[in-house]
Amino acid sequence: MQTIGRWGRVAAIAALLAPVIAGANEFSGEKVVPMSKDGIVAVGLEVGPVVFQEILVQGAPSDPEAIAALPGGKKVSPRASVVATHRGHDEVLMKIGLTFQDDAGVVYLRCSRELLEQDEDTTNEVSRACDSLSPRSLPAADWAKVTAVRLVVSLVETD
Amino acid sequence: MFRIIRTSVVAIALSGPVAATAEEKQHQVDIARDVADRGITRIQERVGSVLFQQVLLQNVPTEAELRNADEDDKARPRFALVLGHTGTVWSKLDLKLQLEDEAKGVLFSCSVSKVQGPAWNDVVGDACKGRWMYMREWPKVRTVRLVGTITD
Repeated sequence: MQTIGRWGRVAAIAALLAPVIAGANEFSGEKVVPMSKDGIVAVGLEVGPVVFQEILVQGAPSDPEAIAALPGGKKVSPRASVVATHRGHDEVLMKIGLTFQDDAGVVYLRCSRELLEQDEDTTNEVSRACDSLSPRSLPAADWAKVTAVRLVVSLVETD
Repeated sequence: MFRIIRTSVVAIALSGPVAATAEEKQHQVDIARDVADRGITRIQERVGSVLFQQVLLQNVPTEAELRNADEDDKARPRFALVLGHTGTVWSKLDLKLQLEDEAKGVLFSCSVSKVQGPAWNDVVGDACKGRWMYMREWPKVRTVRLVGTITD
């Protein structure tokens, strides 16, 4: 099982690096945007041929009042998806990182997804961004302190 | 084997009274919104336990595709429906998603069925996958409409 995991990782890294070695275009970008009460966070970040339109916060309420109404001592495991439009002509491989933080930059939750594919010429595609979540869950009281989301993206165009 | 039969008997015995006493409430859905720029249309309307947040229009034809389309070329739009559910019981959604022109004529439609439990911004994806409309009719699209029922 461990061997399969290792080879899978090697294959994934090779897939990510192949277009770079071949001279394909590489792009990166990041943006910090305010959290919204309905969990639909407008982004508008353009990274190469891909426009990241919004982040959908899932798995837990985003409205501080709704979070406060959760049972005392409750833990939450929020997740997120990104909505992106790709108007380029080549498929891209993306690495996405999300950080949920407060105004002072204190981070309460991180999640990421590596080697996410998006076909060329797609509109408003929804992709899970939280394959890896750290911590796995957090007290609802901490989640209520989140006021901003940082989106970090790197991507390469493939043929 | 005995364990399977015993489990089934217990399950049937439990589900009977629950089904008999469960109070189902059906709500009618008829929500229309102008299709927003970039295909992200906000709804923000609650029906029963379901909060419709937005409709994402996907696989939208490009300007070049529209410009170069032949008479019989087809567009294959899809939808993703973003919704929340804050009720304590599951809901059954039976919906039709439609794209309409200015005169409310239906240019494109498909059905979506889902059983939905508590959620925040769940995505019902790939709705209408495989269906098509004529590309030449795409410029007439003005409205996205959700019609159907929600049973709580």
